[in-house]
Amino acid sequence: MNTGFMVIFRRDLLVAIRHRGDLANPVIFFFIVIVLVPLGLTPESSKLSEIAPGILWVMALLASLLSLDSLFQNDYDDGTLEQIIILPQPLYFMVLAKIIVHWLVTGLPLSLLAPILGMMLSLPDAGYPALVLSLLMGTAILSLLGAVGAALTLPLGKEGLLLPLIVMPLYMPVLIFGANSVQLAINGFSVIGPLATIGSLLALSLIVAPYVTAGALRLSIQG
Amino acid sequence: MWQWFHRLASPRWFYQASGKFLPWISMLGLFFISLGLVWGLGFAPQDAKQGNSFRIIYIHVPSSFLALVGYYIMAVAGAIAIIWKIKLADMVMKAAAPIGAAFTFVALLTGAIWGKPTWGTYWIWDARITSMLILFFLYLGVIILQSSYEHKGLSSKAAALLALVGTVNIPIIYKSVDWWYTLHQPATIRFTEAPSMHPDMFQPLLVMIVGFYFLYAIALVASIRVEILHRERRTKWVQDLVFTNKNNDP
Amino acid sequence: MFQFENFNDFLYMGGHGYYVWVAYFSSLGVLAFLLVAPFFRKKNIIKEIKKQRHYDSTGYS
Repeated sequence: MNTGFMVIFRRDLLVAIRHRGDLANPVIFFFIVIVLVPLGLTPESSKLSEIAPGILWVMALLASLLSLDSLFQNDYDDGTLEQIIILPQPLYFMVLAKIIVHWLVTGLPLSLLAPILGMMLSLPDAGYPALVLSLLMGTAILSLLGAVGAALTLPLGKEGLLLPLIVMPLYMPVLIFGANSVQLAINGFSVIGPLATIGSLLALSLIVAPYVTAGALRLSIQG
Repeated sequence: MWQWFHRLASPRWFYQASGKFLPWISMLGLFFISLGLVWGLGFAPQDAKQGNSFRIIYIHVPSSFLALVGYYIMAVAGAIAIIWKIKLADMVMKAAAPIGAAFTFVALLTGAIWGKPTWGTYWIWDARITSMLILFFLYLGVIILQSSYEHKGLSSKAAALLALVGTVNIPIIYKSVDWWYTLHQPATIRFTEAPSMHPDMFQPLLVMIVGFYFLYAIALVASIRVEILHRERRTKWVQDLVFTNKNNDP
Repeated sequence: MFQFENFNDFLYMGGHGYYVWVAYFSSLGVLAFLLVAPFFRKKNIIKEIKKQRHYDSTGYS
């Protein structure tokens, strides 16, 4: 079971690194929309700092959503996924490997670059630690839950907005706790509570999401 | 014993059995709804603060109940379909999805219309309404996933799985939305469902809730029957039914 | 006992008539649709089945 994990992990990481262009997409998207916000609203610092936590989190969420296609679609299209599924190793670990690689190349960069964007949106100082911590854990949850949605819609191809529709209700609790933890930090409250909640959501997702995803993948090759 | 269980799961058995009791539940449903409507609209006292717009509660609350219950019915049917691979359960899930969505829509619509005279606005981002909106999206997801798979000629087990994921999600969503709302709104606006409702107002509500359960059952059974006819259209029993029967009641 | 003086009062609903009646009619409309739609779908299916039998028995048509 470890070998299955490592093989998939190494392979996916290699593929991701080779397609460096694809890697940049979610991050570029993140930057671009953050620029759109002041243009659409106001350049005033004070107003921006009020909405910064929410905007940052929503945009990170959208960027994450955009990147979900890369998780399974390519492997599904060329038949590799089917080969992976029928292997005797537990599918849970191989799915987990894929998701971890996905997070390493989307969620992690997003979380680490968020402070720069926070500065551009006049995020108050107290918000930065909470921003990075909540995003680090939150984007991991988004990758895990997004995988469930991606697996469920796999045989359908890229049909419009079905994936966002399915994944949004799953994302909402994460968004609520993530964005509001930053806001609480700014307002001077302790963020231990909300961050702990995000942590428990992460733990729950780590256990359940790859399992459900594996089930959905099995359904997808049955047809 | 398994024979009985499998007979229960036979679409043909369901079609024939439901044909017998559908007229009865239709009459009962009609009775309760009529009673509730007349009572609630004309005979229940108006609310001290809200006046007569309060009467919208007699549609809003029952439809909210059924919206939520309907989701669990859909999810349980889906679970039975994928675990035991019972076709009838799959049909129940498929039928329950749009019906539940319709009840959710009615709950949202009546809530919005009720909100205007009560709070001055059609929409308000409080915990309950926001959760109901998310429930509507959960339904939509299942419906669209279902029909996309069907469109491609594939089995819609994925929709059942999605429905199950949703059931785990619903309490989490409600808790988080509740937390979010208390964070941002000091509890000045409390939803008007005070636990102590005068019996004169509560009794017609009970009648309407019962009536709505019947409404749901009628819509569900009728829809399942149609789905059965469609899926089993090539079987002998359906062919016999079509070519020897004259009555067309659902 | 009946809460209104006369039918006009009943329609007026103390000023909230618009809200109450729009809410009730639109909701009951949606629910009525839910109940009636299977009726029409069933008619269509029976028509389809009859047509299919016709095609099967007459070969190409």
